[in-house]
Amino acid sequence: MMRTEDDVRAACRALEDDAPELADVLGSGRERTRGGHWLRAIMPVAATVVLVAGVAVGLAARPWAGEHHATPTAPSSPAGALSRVDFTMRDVDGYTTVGYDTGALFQRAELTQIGGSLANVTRYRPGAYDGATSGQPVAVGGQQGYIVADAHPTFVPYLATDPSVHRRAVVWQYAPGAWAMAEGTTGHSTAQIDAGNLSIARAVAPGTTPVRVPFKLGYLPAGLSGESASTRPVSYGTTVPEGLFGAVSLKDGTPPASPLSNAPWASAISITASAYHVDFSDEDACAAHARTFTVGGDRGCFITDHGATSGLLVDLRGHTVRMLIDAGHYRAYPDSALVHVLEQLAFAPNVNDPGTWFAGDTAVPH
Amino acid sequence: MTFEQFARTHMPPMLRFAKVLCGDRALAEDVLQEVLIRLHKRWDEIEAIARPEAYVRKMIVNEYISWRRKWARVVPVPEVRLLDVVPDHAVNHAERAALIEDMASLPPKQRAVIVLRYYGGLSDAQIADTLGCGESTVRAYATRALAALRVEIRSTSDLGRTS
Repeated sequence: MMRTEDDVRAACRALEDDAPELADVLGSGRERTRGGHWLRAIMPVAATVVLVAGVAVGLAARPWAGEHHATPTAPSSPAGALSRVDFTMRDVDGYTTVGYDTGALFQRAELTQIGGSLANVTRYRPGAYDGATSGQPVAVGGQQGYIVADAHPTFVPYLATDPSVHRRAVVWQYAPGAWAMAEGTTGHSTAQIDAGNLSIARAVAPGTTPVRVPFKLGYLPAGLSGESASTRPVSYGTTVPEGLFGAVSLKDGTPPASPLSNAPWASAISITASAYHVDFSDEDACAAHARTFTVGGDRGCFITDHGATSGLLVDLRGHTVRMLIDAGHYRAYPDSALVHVLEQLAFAPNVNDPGTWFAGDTAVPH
Repeated sequence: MTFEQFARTHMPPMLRFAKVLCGDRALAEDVLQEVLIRLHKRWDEIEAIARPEAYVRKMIVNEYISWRRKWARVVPVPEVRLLDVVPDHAVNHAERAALIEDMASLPPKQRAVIVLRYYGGLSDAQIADTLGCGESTVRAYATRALAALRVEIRSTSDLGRTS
């Protein structure tokens, strides 16, 4: 049976149902994106309208240090910190471990939940996160843990006093002074969410997991050094495998201009490679961007508006690899320097085979 | 207009638009988070634009189809809660659910064209401006999407609407 355009309009109206509230977007929602962290940093969360009206005041008036948590400082990265995560994940029914992140502040495994969203297990470096010492006691890997309803997994201490940004999690002390957290599972009830968080917490196992990326940088502007690395050797797509992903984030010595850029996760630059399984060759990613450049015969573009990012984007190797430089401190580096980063990078022998990728530390020039 | 005034006035419809565009509440929240951060950081520039709401809609669409969603997105499972929808006896609920599911499987740009046209009521020229492409490209996306959705077009002029 053929459908009509009115059917499409009706379907769109039906999709309006259950649209997010502004408070959901600003506060109680998801913690996984870097954006989420930033948003919480700029937006003291309260009732919707009051909240928005309070942004400017909040920026000026809220203390950066919280009442219950000491302000964490980023520990220095141990040798090899970008090349491995110091744990592994066992198989968990209903979940697939799709990637790992490692850096100075934490190491993280990210899991997709069938029919749900992304969950994660994070082991914070000693001193980087002060976990709970109360809640429903549970055992995690032989350690004392807690199911808590008020976890605050960001590094924004003042949010520790704001109940609307807290969420359910399982936390445990995996080493003296070092805390871990499992969170982000979804369910129809609190009990289901707690059970999900506990199951992924208990899936953490001894061992190491390599963190590799599909490229190696040959040049970086002076002052930049490796801060963290991310690897996604398993496609996120549950029904459409979209590709593999690796990234390194870099820090610089730029003095913080605001509490935002003072945040430990506010990288100066992140460099991302996505190796796609699917053919995006009919897409011109640069169609909307007038300022272009050429790298090895491929046309890239500078992206400085439309909200997607601020940086450079180029599809290489016949649209099989998309490189993006997301420059948080964009204006600190000349365009020519960022293009030169692309010109000087080398790809793994087979970008579609994570076994051939480069260890995180070797991907960044020292 | 201040950022706060803008958010109070224009964000509620943008929240609904993002949900329709993304088809998934959690993804819509992620997209909106990114957009709000960038909006707040650049408000001094954006408030000077004649129609900032159109610009923000463009930000939402671009964020949805941008690179980061391509690798980070779990292909959305539509949250079909038709029992909560105002009853519409002219439309079979099961068929609507199937249509929503088919829309979720569209490539992001095709889905964006469909939502901007049939939910946003934009002309092809406005959609082209939002997506940063030509009108012919918009029509090509629409043709492919409507074919995939098995939607019958009443007349050929429907494929080439202008503002």
